[in-house]
Amino acid sequence: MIFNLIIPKLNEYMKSARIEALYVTIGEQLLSGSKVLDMSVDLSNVFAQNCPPISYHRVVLREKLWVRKLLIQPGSYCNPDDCIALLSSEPTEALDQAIARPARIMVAGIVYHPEMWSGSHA
Amino acid sequence: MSEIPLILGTLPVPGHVVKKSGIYWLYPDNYLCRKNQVVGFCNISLESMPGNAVAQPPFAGEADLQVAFAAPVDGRLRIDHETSFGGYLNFLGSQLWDSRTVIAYLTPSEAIPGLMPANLMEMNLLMLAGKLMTGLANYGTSMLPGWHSQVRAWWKGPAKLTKTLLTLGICDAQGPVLGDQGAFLEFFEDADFPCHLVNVQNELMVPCAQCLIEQFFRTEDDFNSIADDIRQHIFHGMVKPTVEDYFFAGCLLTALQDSPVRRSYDIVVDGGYQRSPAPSYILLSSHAEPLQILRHKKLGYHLRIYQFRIEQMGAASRAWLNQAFEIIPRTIADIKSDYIRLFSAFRSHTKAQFIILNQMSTSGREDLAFYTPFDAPMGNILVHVAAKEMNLMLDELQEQAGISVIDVDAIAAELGGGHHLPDGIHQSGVMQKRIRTELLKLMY
Repeated sequence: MIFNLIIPKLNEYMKSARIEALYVTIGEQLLSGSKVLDMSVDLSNVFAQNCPPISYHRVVLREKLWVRKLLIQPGSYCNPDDCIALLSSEPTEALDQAIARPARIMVAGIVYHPEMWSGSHA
Repeated sequence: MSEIPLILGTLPVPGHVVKKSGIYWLYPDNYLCRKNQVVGFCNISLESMPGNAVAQPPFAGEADLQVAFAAPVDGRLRIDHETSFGGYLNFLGSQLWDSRTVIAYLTPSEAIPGLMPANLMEMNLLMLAGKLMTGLANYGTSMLPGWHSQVRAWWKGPAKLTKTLLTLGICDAQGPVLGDQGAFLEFFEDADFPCHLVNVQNELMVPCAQCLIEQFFRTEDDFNSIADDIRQHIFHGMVKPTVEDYFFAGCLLTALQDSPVRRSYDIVVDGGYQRSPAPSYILLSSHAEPLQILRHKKLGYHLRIYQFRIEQMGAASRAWLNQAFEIIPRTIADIKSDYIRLFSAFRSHTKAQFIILNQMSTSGREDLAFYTPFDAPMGNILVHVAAKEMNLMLDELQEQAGISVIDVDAIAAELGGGHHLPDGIHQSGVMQKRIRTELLKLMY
């Protein structure tokens, strides 16, 4: 079965997210509890602001799946509900079949760390 | 009920003539205003009288001086539109301050015992003073306009002001104190005791305890060493500086130059002007405390700068930060130790009571089913675990160091953090009012 990984909408004000770190590679097997990515959410992204309300979040997988296709990289901007990766239950399943469902994930608020994309590109 | 003329009232600044601009009225005619609700304001300027022997003029360094007007009782306001001149005359102090000038009329909502129709009432005057980051950042058609490093306010009243609240926080502390228009209006409408508020604004240096301690003890030689290092590496380094770099250097040096705790301030009251005493309350944000801080490799001082500010900097400043500083991880125990040293340092100068805002420690956005993906200590990774540890530490400090903590966590939980505190720092107006109420209880 093929699963898509979508950017969760964390808040009614959230318009987009920036990928700050990507921890997975194509062909890798992920387990329940594998960290997938860190992202930043700027709730003021519709207009520039003096002190933007930026928060950081980590997306963690909650099931055992294989990474088959990645549509993002660190620094990419995504909208809520965007598909950012395809995963499969078997390592070589054909990707041209219908998406079974979104992959099961959980999201945690995290502390900013210097390995984030914004830390190395500022 | 008959209308009562409202006059400017006295504004005594010994040795000086006070001049005022035209008045900006914030509400239309027939507005039903509340007691102490600011309804208009003007700019003022001070001119030294001939023969005035005062060596230093009052409000030195505070280029923005304004007076905001509030009705002394609830009632319906009728404005004298002749008081508003329009154009530059509503900006420049072009008219002598005459205490008997009638600027509006009020029909009180309730009868005032003993008040005769011929009686006059003085407007309540909220004094506003702003210290500009630079004289270039002065543009003024609102209350406390421009870019300030410090703003303050107090009611001009009969009582000698003994209570000064110094806010050294970030947005979560500044919002409830400054209010929606950034001019303390809500605070002073709610406060029913005399007080003086000082808000230090620094866009660049986040006021964490470690930086505040160093700022407090920094000598002129220390400062000159920092300035020399900046000059050498940003202006004469390998990367060509841009306009952004010059702004960055100016802002940083302004922030590092002196400690607001050591300052004293001029205050106009009915009897003339006085120097304010040292702060009696100091408001801090626990959100200002970082789990990583920058330390200068050679000079040893620390900096806490938001990541989004670093992204805005010029390339030369970023190169300097990358080369000259190292990232030092910090624990909650380190932060507690910093706080204790800060209290000790400041208490050598002032008997101020410390008030710290704690943090919202939960989020409806999280859906953590298990914690195994996160290595211990989880407070280094998970923001709400870190917040809980911070809040526990603040509770310990409350017991051990005699400080006060405003329980933002509980207020957010009660009101609903998702709506009233969506990013954990920037509150809604409702939540700011709740925090302000807690602050006023501590100060009363």
